[in-house]
Amino acid sequence: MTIRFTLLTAAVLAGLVQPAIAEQNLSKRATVAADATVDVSNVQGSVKVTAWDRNEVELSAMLESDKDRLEFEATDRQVRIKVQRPDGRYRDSDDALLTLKVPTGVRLIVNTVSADITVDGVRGEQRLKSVSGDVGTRGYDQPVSLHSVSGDVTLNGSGGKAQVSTENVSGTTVVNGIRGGFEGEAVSGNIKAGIAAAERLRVSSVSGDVEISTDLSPSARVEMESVSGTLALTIKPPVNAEFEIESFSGDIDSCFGTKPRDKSRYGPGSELEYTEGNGGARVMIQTLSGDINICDR
Amino acid sequence: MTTLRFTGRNRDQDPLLAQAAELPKDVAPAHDLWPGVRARLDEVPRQGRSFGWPMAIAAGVVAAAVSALLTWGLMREPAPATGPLAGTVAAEPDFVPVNYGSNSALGAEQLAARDELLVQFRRKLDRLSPQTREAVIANLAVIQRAADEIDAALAQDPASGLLNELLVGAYRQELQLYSKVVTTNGDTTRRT
Repeated sequence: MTIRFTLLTAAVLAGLVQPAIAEQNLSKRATVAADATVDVSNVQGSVKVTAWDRNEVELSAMLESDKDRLEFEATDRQVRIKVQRPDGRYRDSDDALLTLKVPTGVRLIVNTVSADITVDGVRGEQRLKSVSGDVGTRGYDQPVSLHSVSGDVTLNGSGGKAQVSTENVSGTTVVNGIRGGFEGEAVSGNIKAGIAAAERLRVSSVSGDVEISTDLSPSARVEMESVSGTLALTIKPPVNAEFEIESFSGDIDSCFGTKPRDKSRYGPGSELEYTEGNGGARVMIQTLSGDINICDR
Repeated sequence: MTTLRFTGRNRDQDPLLAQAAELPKDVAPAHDLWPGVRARLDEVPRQGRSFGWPMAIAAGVVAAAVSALLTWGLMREPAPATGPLAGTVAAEPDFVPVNYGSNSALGAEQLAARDELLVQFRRKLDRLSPQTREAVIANLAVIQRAADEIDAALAQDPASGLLNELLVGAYRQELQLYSKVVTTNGDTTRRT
């Protein structure tokens, strides 16, 4: 009885210990240039990147599968991190969780499939792309490009002049706190953005709704386009811009003085062309059936 | 039956001329045609500009997409040989590319370039996780509905610059969706 009990206990303990054996906890570190390129690739799990004031890249990786292989290649100018799965087999417990600390000024490239991407404090160029994961970062003065198919995309700016571009198929895109330029595209996903002193603003969607709040520089150029989504533009006064707004069958609602006119006496559609204030900036908005709302408050 | 001939000498006896003389000197049209004519005239330069350049953009979009994919194909690492995953059956995705309708000005040349992209897209789509594949197909359906809506509008106004721009925009979104999936790194299957 005692022997059987002991064996049974050993078997149970062995079963409990098994996951701990399969899991890999790895650490890597490299000294790099302040503006090096850090390129990260992961399939599922997460990638979390935080900037620090050292010229070092530090990686902590927790790979739930013992079959995963971590590649870490570093030179002074470039660090390449990739989670490889040689057997190509995946299970629910196969997340690879990558946590990185990088110099503030690095150029960051992250590609994932089903892994969320979170970045904080990186002031260099960022190119973040996920298929079904969420993508979130802070923007400063360097270009930021965010892509996702079904995940959400979020950028919180610091008031810097980062040129931000987003492509999101069905997730929600939220961009705030940047100055200068923004380009956003979506199919069915919604886009909401607050841009200060817009110079170049271009947004298009197929059916997703778009809501932009901005103030216009004198040479600003704003283009918004949708097939069936509602486009809403709020411009902080004073407004000095030329407007060219057209919808094939949607409604145009403007809180400025000039009212839209029907394109045809007999069919749907309306258009609105006028100059507010001294002009200068150009605002072009067009939809097929989506409604258009513009206002200064 | 007697045929009467009216010459310059007896024109005042011509009953036809007499009836004609009673007609009003000028006839106003049933409604004012000028606004419509002017609108058409106003549209001419815009149509001339817009109808051409969306197609040029479409050609550019296709060229850029194909070029990017060729570059990606050359630069990428060889994909690991991965067969069907354990416990899964590679289902044929329920997918058809967007049909732009009979009123679309997208030519066979542009759509043929899309076909090149579709070959690679189909391979990748099969490897997507079920949730992501569902999202991709759902959004292609969104683009299809938009294309149908544009096509119906083009039937009413074939030369509309606005509609042709939106058509190109929808086509660009379709190509970008394929491109996003095709250029995904690694195997894209998430769960088994």
